Amino acid sequence: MALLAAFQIHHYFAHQLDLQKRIWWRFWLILLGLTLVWSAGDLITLYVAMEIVALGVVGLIALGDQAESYRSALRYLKAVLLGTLSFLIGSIIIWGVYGTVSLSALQQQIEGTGLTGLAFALITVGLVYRAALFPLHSWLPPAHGSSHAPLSALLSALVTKASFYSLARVWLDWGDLIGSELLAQLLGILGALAIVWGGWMACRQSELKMLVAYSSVNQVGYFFLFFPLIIGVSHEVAVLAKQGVILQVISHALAKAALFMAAGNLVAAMGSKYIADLSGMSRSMPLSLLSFGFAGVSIMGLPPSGGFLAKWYVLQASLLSGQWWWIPVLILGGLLSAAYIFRIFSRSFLEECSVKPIKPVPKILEIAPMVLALLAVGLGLLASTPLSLMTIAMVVTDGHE
Amino acid sequence: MTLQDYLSVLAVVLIVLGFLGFAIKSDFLRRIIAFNVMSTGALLLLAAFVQDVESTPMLTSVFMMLILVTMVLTILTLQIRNKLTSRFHQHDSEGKVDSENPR
Repeated sequence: MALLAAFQIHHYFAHQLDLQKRIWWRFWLILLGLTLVWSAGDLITLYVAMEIVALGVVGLIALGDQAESYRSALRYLKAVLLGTLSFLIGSIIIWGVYGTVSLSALQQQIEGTGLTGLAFALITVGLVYRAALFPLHSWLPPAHGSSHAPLSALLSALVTKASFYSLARVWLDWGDLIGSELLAQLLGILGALAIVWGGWMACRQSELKMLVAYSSVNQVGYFFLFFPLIIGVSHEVAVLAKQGVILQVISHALAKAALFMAAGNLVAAMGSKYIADLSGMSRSMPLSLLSFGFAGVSIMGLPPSGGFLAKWYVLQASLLSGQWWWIPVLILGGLLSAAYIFRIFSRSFLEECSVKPIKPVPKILEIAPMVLALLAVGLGLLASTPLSLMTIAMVVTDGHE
Repeated sequence: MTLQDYLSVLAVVLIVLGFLGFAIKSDFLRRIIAFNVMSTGALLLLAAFVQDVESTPMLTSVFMMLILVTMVLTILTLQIRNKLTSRFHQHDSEGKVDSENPR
């Protein structure tokens, strides 16, 4: 994924060598941070890793070099400052109480006292802010919408996942022990609201990239349905929910990156960022539009895409655990995503095209989104491969503990 | 009360003050200062809580790292803000950049 993004960045900015140079160190900073997040074994490392990612991200957003992008960068920084500080305070309390911040050591010691509960809540709030869950999501669309398209792809596909990954890890380790079913349900409800609100806002956007960005808010909501389905339920349900959410994370990363890159190509070609100007694009940019469609299939959750399989697992998990109230949310979310994806298409197939100059986009730029979109769709058919990879990873980490 | 208790109470007061400052004031500079007050509180909390751990060298490095992170974030924020105001000359409206998102 990162390789494809690098490929796209390289060609997208091929004519702006100066800018390209300034992108690379930020790019590697983010990758370094993400790797650290993935491999972090204690809370403080996790904190530092997230800050490293944030530094790179702020740099990337600010690269837009317009008043708007600086303003979004500041907004994002606010989320970073408050979110990670809350996380830090929570970790410090944990450190004070248990004398360690190592995640595996904590898993054996932790118990549900008041102070731990407070720390747990602080950590959760901080990470939720970073992951842009519904009431705290308002930094995300401007940040992703106003940066360059391949960069938004990187941000949307990988960076919000880092916070979610940390949160899922903390919850998987401690959730059962602290026994916060209420908090889990709350997270699920917020996720549901995010699905509906993000979808609705995406339907109402007039700019193409803002639509894709709001669709991120919508999709992040699905991740959070995960929490009520792993806390206080049978082992079988938890496994299903886990597989569902892993698939959702992967398929969303692939599909959203494809959407952003394809949207970037379309915007570059038509020289306008508004959806209303898309008419007639189906003739001049069929390939980009096709990858947009494939990625859209996964976002909507039509079979055989990865998105479908993920939602199917989540659906099954919620049925099995008797939490039927998530099902209408899933259906409504699917309908809303279909609505905003089809909005693009209904526009682009209009033929009454007022003649406008279309800047041809180099063919090479259309390859990466296509590959990503095909991967996203194909994920449903090949789901066993990533799942088995993840299972191996889980077994390995279990072995350590 | 022991020294530890005093320190943790002070830390909590600082964190709460900082948070209130962040939540109530929409002025940019005040928010940055509020953030710094908050992170000072967090560090103090660490100092108060983790006194009796034998791993002092590690603790020192953690402290330095946290101070560094706070510093870098503050510098970065000020830098971006500086660019925004100096290049685009929108002094009056920029003060409320962040206030569109009340917590």
